[in-house]
Amino acid sequence: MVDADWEPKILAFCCNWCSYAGADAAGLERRQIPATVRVIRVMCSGRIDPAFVLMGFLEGADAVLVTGCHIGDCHYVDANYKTRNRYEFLKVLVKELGLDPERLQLRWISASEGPIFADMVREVTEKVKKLGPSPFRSVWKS
Amino acid sequence: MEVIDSYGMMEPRYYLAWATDEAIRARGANGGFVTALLVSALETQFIDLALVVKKKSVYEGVPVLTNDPEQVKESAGSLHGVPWNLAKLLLECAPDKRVGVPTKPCDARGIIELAKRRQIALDNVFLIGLNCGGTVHPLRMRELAAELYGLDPDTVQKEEITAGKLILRYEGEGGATQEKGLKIDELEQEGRGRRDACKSCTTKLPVMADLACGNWGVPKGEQKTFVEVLTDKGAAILENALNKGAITVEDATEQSIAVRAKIERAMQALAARWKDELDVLTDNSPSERLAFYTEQLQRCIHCGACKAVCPVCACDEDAKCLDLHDEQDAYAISLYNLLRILHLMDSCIHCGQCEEVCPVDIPLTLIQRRFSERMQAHLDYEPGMDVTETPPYQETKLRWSADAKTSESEGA
Amino acid sequence: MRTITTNCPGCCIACGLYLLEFSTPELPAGELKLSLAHRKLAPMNEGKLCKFGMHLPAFYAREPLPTLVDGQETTQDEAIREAKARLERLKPDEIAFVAIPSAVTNEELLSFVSGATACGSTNRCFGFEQFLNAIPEDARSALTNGLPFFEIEAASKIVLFLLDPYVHYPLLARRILKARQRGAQVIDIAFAHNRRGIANETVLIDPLDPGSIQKLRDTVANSLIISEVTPYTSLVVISLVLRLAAETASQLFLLKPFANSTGALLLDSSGAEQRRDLFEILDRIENGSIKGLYLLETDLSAVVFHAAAVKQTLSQLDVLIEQNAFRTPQSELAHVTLQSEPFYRKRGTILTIEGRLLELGGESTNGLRILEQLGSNRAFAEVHAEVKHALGLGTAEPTEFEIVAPRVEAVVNVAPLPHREPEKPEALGDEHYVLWYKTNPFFWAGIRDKGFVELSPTALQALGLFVGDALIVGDAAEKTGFKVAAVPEKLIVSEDPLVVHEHVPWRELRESGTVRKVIVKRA
Repeated sequence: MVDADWEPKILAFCCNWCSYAGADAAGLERRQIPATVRVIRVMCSGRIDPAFVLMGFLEGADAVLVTGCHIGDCHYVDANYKTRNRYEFLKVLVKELGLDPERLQLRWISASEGPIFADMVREVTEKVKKLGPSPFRSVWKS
Repeated sequence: MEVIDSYGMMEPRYYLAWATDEAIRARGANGGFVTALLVSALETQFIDLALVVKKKSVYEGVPVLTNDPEQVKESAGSLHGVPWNLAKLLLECAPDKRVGVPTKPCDARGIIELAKRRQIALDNVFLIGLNCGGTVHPLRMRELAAELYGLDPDTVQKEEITAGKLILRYEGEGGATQEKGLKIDELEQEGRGRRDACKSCTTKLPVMADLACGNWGVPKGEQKTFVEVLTDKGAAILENALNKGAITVEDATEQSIAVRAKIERAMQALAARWKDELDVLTDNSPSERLAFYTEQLQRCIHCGACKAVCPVCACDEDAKCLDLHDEQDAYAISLYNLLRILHLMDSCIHCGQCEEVCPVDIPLTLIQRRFSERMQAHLDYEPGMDVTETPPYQETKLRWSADAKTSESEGA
Repeated sequence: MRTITTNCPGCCIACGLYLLEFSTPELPAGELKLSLAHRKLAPMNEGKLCKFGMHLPAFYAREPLPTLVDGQETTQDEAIREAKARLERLKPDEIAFVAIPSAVTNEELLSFVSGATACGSTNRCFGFEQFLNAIPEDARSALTNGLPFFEIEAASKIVLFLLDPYVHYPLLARRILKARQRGAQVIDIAFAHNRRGIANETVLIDPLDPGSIQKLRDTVANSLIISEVTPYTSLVVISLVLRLAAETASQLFLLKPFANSTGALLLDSSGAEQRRDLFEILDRIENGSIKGLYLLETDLSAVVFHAAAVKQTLSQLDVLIEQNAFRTPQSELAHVTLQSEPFYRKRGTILTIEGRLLELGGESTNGLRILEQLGSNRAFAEVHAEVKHALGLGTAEPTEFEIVAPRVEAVVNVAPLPHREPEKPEALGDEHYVLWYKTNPFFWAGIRDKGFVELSPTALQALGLFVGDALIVGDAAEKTGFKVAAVPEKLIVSEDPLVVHEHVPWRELRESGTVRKVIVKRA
């Protein structure tokens, strides 16, 4: 059913202090990362308004990854608690909307966890390939 | 605006009460207790204003904000054609005054949600809760009178719901008053009767208000109101009326209390059944859901009416759902709608105002309910019930419900 | 707090609503804030309002028009005397009376007509004169006929002709949806697909080849055709639709953009020789044969929407009298201005498209009093009685729940308008696009509500557009945004009153209807 050549588009929000540095580390270590991911750097995962995630889906992302520092490690004390709070809301929203919950992921990745970042992208890419293109891709109707 | 500093809840106390003034007692519903309470509060300057609903016709009541006790007396009587939510009106017209408001449970819940968002100082607002079995859309009631009762709608003088029947009193031939009653259950099976939001509402007693008033539990034939005192504020306004001699009270009997509870349970059970019946999604598969939400929400013309009337939305013009939404985006479901759903997931009180004002008939009550009930169950949180509980969306650390605990370990 | 029962002046549906007037701590003493509430007992809209309805408090918060003579503040009586004196200096056929019936009551309409008669003016305009003058008498009922919305809900076959209800008349959309739920077949005949999918079948027609409408006889047979007629509707299109309806035994229902359009069409008893359409009046002002103009509650630069050109034309007048509740762009040109009350304060009646005679909730009759002083000095009750007499109502005071407007059934064979046989489709150059105005209440109020036009993905590529770019449509200076939509390749759709040609002879503007051939460029 799914076109074999089809490559998903995955949007990843990374925080400046941990997960972006983690993604950077993965690159420095020359780890293979699928070319499916588009990274948007934000200063803190707490800056990721749920609206950004929804916009990502509306603009055609097949999956959206919200990443940040581990709980307790936030550069801004407790902002990633807020991230987790909002993620809970988004998770219920996305599922009820009819999108597969796997298309939205929250991951904590520290600056030293390059391999984990690479694994995450691989894992999500595989999952989304099985799920196929996001049904939200039909942006306008004729 | 003042931050809420004192809001004492107390052990409930139960009374039967009525207006001492014979005229008020005769005119008002159930012994005119609420009318007498507000009139005396205005006369003693215990409150500055009262926000009451004035009967415009048998089909429709209109809110009136007044400091005139006479107007309050005129407003007396129960009415089912009151499909307003008073919360936004109170916010707009009298945010800084001491106001007494007779409230349906959804009015009170809306006011409490606005208080949580620092829009209304709850210390200033006296919520005189009224038991509510539901309201009827004014135009639907008119159609009912004409089509099912076979009456000229303009001759109907009074409507009331008694013993499961909707009774219309009308001016018959020769000017004599006649009445006709039909079973509500049967009306509603045909898609008539109360508003959908009311049919499926399980909050029948205004236990979040300062006083809960109604006729459930009042012995048959007695012109009295069953009153439950829920807060210090409720006790204060009651005491004010008692000191003035405006009302007479007696303790409610165990039997009265039990009867009231039984009626509530029966109505809640009925509401739960309606909730299932009104949900049009059949197999509830993800693809069915997406198709349903897309089909319904793509009709949105972005008039903003649902937001304007929403009793828990406090953003006014400076709102994310307005700012981030751009009509130039050609999304099938607009960001406006998605953000409203998101922001209401913890706070929607299912009052149904949004759907009622939607010019393109999007079934917003159902849509908001499907999202928010899942989230509220997940959070083990009920909005509009307790002003000390902040909306979870605004909290830093979420209070998890038992079944949400799994999220703690996720992503670690 | 005061609750005012009122109706929306935005279109012929005249939705019911409440306006709440109250003082707030932020406002200086004496000033009142206006806010709206939904009046759910209103039979035409059940309390629901479109975006324009929701915009009403802001609409009514515009700057009021002061009473002035030559820019100097004066009393109302003095201004009226001055207006009368100045009009008397002109010859009767040099004076034009224009009232676009959106915020004009039936009583004011009759008063206005008698004022015009007293002056002997042969140039009276209520917005639909080009159709009244061109369409034969026996077909004219198609223009005036209304239709209660419950009949739309009960229709079995509906044809939407160049009418996207969600945009043109949003409160109509739910009625058509209801009809569909009851099993009706809904066919869309349009230049572009309706994005929100209201129809089960869409037939696209070429905007440059209106003659192709005639090929649709089989599609349209035995249906309820819903379309609209506005000052901008082309006569060619209207005469084709009239014929189509007659030839296919279909019922025709034409919506109109102004709240009291039906009242104006039924009450204006002026003869053909006294009626003059808007564009011709403007033409005649330009060539100097009309020297005086009385504008009643009418913002010409909104209705004709070429504000700069309107201003230039009106500046040639010897006498411009403006009676309005609010200041308009032409107020600064007016020699005499007369302040009337806003629509929601008016006492009087309007007649809706459904045929309901609505009594407005206001108490003021000042606007009427001004008009009566020009002519016959009657009291409100007298004029009101005349309105009801003209509508055949006797002494009854009908409620909003009754349908009272007369309805004449069946349009009999309408002969094609001789000089308006459709021409061959025009050829379109590579750089050319066709602009289609989707008119709506904001459009007629002269408000650019959207700020963008809709175009096809092909056009997007051809023009080399990226997110955030702007467009220049036509040769006017105005820029606009764009939105990609499922419209035909060469079509551009504008819901805004976007000026695309700065100076066009007025007569030509009338001929081109809601379609313009334009060159589109990236700004």
